Amino acid sequence: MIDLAFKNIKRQRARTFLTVLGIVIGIAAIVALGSIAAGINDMVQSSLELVAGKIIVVEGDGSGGISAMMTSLGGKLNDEDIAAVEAVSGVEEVIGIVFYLENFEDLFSAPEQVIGINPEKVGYFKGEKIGMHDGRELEEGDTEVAIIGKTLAETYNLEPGDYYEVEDTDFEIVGIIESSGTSDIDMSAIIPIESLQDALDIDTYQMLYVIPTDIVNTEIVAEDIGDEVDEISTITGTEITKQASDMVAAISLFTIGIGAVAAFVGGLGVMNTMIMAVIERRREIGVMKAIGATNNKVLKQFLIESAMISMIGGGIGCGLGMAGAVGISLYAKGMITAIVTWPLVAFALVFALSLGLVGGLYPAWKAARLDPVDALRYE
Amino acid sequence: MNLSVTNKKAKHMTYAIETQNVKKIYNQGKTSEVAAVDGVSIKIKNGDFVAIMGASGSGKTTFLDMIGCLMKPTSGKIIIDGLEADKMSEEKLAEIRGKKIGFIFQQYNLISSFTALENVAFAIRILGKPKDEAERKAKNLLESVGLGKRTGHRPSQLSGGEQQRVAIARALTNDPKIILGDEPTGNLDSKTSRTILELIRNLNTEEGYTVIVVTHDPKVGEYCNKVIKISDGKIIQERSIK
Repeated sequence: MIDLAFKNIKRQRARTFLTVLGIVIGIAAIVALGSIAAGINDMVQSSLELVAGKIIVVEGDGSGGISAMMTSLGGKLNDEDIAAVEAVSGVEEVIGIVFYLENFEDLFSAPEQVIGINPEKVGYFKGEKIGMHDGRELEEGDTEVAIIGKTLAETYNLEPGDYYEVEDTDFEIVGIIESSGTSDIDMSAIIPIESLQDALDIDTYQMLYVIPTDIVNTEIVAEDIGDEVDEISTITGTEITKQASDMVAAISLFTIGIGAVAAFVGGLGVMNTMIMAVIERRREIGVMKAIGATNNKVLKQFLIESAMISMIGGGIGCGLGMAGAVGISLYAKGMITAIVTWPLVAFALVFALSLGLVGGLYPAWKAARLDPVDALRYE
Repeated sequence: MNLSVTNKKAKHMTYAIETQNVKKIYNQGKTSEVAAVDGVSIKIKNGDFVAIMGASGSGKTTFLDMIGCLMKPTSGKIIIDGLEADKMSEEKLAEIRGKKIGFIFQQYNLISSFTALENVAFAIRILGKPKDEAERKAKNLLESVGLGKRTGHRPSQLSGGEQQRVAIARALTNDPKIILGDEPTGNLDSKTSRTILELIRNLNTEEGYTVIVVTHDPKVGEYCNKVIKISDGKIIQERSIK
């Protein structure tokens, strides 16, 4: 039945090609956009792991959420603020962080992010699980050295021993951080904070990492800091997680939605093609019935054909979608890493099959119900 | 005594096709009511070659559709090889068509994009047979109708007579007992008509198929052993030819 169906759909090559193309576009969109959404989700999750159990303190009212926090580069948090936060009950440790964005001109690439942090506290920023790809970690006493993310190293073909320049100061690269999947780290250069402050000629911080004595009290401690220290605001992992999860959910829904609409239009194409096929092949349906094919057999034959059209489209669409996802990852290097997951591919294929079956059902039902006498003498 | 035995035999004799007072009425109960077939009773024995003749609109094609199980009668009995077909479900009628009847049409009804072999094999495959078996059988059937060397040609590359041979081969795919022809020579010139009729007669005399052909072509009568003439849905003449 399968090869017979294949033979039948080949009869109107141009029409079949266009119908398959409709499905290909829809399914490719689902796979590519779904992979991007999965990549964004993964990136956000990796970033969230870094802030879990921490309180982030920024200057101002913090009303802009994560994005405002990340761009509050002219931050004026100083050592007095650190001391004030340290004095709050339940605070174990406060780590000042300097952010500096380098080469921030290409919207489609992740900006290079220069991070200044106490060399012994780098683990708080990049996470203890992320090790080194090459070279060594920052150590106590390090001054004009840097460790850089893997994507950054690949972008400029840098390796340990080379130099990374910030505002006319050269920092010797002593290590390359292994790939983390998040551009916060992969496109970062991490430099001992005092050296970076010297290079930038500042003595302030953009952000403070606050480690609570007991992780269970994170929210309470954050509230206390907000109450006791003026002109700052706090944000906790929980808040960030909620904001990020909402954002990722919205992105996923939007991207999959676009793909689903495109694929649905493809499904209408399948229905149209099959209706045309049933009209054109009326006499053939009459012959099928005359030689003993039951209504069910006729129904099945046409359903197999529509399912085949949609599955060919689904297969090619998945392939193109995966290629597209890889292409986008390469083009937007470091900014978006699309992740193709098998459940997404399986969903896309099942969706394609459903489109074929649903789109083909009405025409197949019409074919099955044709009166053999009328069909045989159709002019 | 002898008479009663004869009667008993006659009572139990199975005909290839038997109809009793079969009627097909369109638009029943309306002013436009028309009886396309109006009380036709016939008995066709196994191995008969019957021509049903009549003018256009006489009801002969409607009658053929009914004995071919493509259409149910409004009333009356239709018995195909001992099975009462007039009250059967669609599924059962399809089963009878698949097992007992082969159709030949005036327009051949071949699939234009398929080769001769594919057209015949298609009919076998649609009933669920595997590809290899279908192609083997299709090839044998095409050889038996004299098209062994034309199996790879599409209908457009074949003459009308050749296309009708392909259609005949297709009609034989289900090893039917009965072959029904609807104007099988209607689209052919007289010379080709004769070769097709000879082929059909051979199937009747040598292979034992029961053949019923609906036609208005008087030449067909020369090949049959029985001619039934229909007019206005009624049999007006029935004669056997020795």
